[in-house]
Amino acid sequence: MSLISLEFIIFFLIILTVYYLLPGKLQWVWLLIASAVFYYFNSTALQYSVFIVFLLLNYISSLKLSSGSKHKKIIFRSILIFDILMLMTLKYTGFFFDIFSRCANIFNHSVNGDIKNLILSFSERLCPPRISYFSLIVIGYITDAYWGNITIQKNPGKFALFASYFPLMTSGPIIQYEQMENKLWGKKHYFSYYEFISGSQRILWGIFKKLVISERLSVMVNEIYDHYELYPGFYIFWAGGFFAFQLYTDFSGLMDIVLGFSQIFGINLPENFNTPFYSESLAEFWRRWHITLGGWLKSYVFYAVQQTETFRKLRKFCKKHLGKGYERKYNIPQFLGLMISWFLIGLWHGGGFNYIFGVGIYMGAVIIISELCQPLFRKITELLHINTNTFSYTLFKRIRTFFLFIFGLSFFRAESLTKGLSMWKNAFSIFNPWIFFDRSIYRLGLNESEFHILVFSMLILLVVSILQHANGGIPQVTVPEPCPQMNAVRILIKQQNFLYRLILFIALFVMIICFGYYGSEFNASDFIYGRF
Amino acid sequence: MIKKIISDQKIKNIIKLMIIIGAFSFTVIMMDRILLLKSKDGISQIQAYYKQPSGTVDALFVGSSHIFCHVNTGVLWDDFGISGFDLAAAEQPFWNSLYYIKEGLKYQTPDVLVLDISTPGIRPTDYQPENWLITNTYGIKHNRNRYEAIKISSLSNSFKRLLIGLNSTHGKYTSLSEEDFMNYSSSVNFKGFDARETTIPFEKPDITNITGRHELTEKEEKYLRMIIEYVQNKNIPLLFISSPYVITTDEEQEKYNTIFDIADEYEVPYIDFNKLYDEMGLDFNTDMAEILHLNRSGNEKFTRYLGQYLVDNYALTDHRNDPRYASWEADAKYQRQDTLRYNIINAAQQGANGKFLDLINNGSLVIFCNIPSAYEGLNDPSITEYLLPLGLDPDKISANNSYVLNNKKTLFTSSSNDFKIGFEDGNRRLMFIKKTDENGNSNIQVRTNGSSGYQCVTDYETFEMPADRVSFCIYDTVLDKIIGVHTIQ
Repeated sequence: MSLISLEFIIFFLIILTVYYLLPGKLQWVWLLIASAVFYYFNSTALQYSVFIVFLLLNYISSLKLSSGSKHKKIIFRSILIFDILMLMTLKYTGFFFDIFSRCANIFNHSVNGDIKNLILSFSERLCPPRISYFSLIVIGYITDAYWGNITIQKNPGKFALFASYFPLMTSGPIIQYEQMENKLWGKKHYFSYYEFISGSQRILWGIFKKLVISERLSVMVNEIYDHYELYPGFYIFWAGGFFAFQLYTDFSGLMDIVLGFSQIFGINLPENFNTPFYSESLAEFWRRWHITLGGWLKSYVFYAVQQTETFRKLRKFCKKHLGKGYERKYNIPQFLGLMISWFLIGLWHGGGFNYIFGVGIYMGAVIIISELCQPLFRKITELLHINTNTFSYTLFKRIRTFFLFIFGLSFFRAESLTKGLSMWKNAFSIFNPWIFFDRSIYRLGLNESEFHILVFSMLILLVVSILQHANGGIPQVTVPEPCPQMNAVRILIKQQNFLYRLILFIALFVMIICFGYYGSEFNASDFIYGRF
Repeated sequence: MIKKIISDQKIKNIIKLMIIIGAFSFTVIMMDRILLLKSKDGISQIQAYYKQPSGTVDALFVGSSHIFCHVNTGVLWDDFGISGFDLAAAEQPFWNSLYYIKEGLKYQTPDVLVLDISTPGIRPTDYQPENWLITNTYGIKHNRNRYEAIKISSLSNSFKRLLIGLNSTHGKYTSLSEEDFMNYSSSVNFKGFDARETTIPFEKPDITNITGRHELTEKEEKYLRMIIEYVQNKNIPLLFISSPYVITTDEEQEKYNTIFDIADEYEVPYIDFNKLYDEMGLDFNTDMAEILHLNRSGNEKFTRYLGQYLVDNYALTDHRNDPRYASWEADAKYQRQDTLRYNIINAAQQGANGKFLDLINNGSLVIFCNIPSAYEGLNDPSITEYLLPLGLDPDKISANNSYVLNNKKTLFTSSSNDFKIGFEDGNRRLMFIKKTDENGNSNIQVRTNGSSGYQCVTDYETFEMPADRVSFCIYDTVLDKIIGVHTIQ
């Protein structure tokens, strides 16, 4: 059941109506039932069973962790290993088989194709949808429980709701227990006109980004990526740039839809994007892009790794050999922790070396190199008398960051690391600036009018992002209840007259209906991040 | 009290919410209407049908394009006073005919219902291509019949998508026109008939020896029987017809034979027009538009034969003097005029100058006549004899003149190389803009704008008028259409 489908709208309206008719004590139970039904419609009986077993085991373990058991550490490690193994074996079977086959080839052995296919199809049948999201949510919960950061949830229903709240069972955001504890239960949610309207507006905006912009960009991206041999030089840069915006509008659009639906229930979820293309460095970019994944890895991987015995020893070793204050120059333990985190980010995005490299170690490496080269850059700017407090320098940094990002991201879109490398080799094989002038852009699958619609829609997106960024972006501006979470653009819209707002959103709605890619020719229900 | 209610925030919010829901619902309805394909392949037919005054349709014709291309409602009216309606859609299978009939009988109680049975022979498939499915279902109002018609027509994996019309029609924004907003083609005057105008000669088929039977598919037979039972339960006389066309395989006729057997079972009368070519006077050299359809000449012959049969066998009233049936008279007038247009174009294409000039000597046409300065044929009696009836006195006309003529009158004369002249008739406007280059070649821009409430009239066309020929640009005031330009040397 896709979020952009008639079934989901009907499902949502039924859930919503009953939700607000129920007393506060039963609202969370209703959400749990809705989540169970939603997940049931999105999985097979076998996958559903695996999901239930996963939740049960984690719930029981969390209870044990709170009981002051002597075997707390063993229980934690066991359930953690179980969760990670489940994720790895079900989600990455193909990838591990691939590595195994390559290793076997080195020793002149080969993997039996029938066995491989059998295991792959078995793991596919078992693998519950959205495992990459709910497993991280639950692992975070278990870790917090072990560290004593949270009060364990003893009610199995509430635990299950936290782990499977249905708007999240699409593509996140990856929530932490602390953020949600008081939102999902504990108080009666009354129907609020503002939450309903605000949430609906956000859903519309998300659908606009997905159906009007992202799907349109995908036509050109697919054309170039699928026939990259025919598109050398600047075409590859186009593809990279287009894909960056395609992914952004796809994923952030989905987040708008998810957050909008949840807001209508009176449950505000954490934001996942904060105008990332305004970032001046790659490190900043990733603090603004898929924020909850970065936050999760920081909390449960990076910090956790730093606390391990091995890292303590490493820090001692660095101190001994590099001297006091080594952190300021070569913070090797931190860099190592970063690389582990980035490796996992890459792996999380998919079982393939293209993911591990493109959105993993490449991004980590660039961030570390930037950090190391910071003094050098400072010297160069001083030497060349470059005023760094200017718009032009900020713009330069943003463009630089954008290019660094799209290079890595292009591997995400390419089916393999080899293809990604071939594409970039192709990018520098010819200098073809004429394609900017000879209407080549109209030969990539979108005709002139379609392309103009894309440009117009992107301009709307640009205006919104400028307003958003100029007013501080995500740092939420607090407005009086009952609308606690609104960003600057939405506050600006809210300040306008009712009729103006109505016309604005009707216009957006008409644009979606007319210009949206859906229906006969397109399958708009698949979001790129919905695969994980 | 009212002031107090309005000042209450909750009430205010409820009102706002209702306005928002209303505005969005209105937008969806409007978009659905505007983006709907205005196709005379079935959608406009049923949409116009909904506009017919209750109890006025005496003969209802249902089925495939054989109905809307062959049953000329203008001829039925002119010759017999029958108020007929072609409630048909392209390639319509029986399951779609059933829902057209169900919708049809909701609003009218015809004296006879004629069902064309050709689709199983021509397109033997249980699931049509989506474009035909759309033309057969999207014109139906949003109700249970529409839902069921789409459901039975679509494959299970496409039903949900097809159920929401905008899924299939929203791409139309690239080609929106006045017609999409005004929907002239489904006006009350439209009775579903849409003639084919080409002429392709064929050898006369002979199917008299095809007496075998070919099974219908389970779905075809089921829905055929459902139609019969449904119509008979409503006590409306039903007639099956197999429309004339070039039958190429035995299987087609064998299917029709099977259908006639089923008709016999239910005592439903039928006419196999493929066995009546001579009786109708059908000439396969001149009467076929293409392999499947009759052209204008063919459909008139067919309709006259069918009309006579209906008058002879059913209690049909002649409504020709009844003011309630004014829209049938308007339809007939339109068909007559369309036939004139068709004949003018044919005469022009065949180079039959005499016939052409004879035909355009008609009060319903406004003619822009351009005689360039280099033209030397004004003394030729074969030209001048036709100019007089148009209102141009051969003694007074001269080269390098332009005339606007209507109803034997000269509305405007000018010897200027470049000019602009406009005419107004009620809410319609017609404008001719002439420009001449240094070689004496002119072009004429014709702009029409306005509405007779009948069909789209906003038009803009530019025609070339060579320096060595007399050119005639013809605008039809009945059809609200620029027929075109013809030149005579």
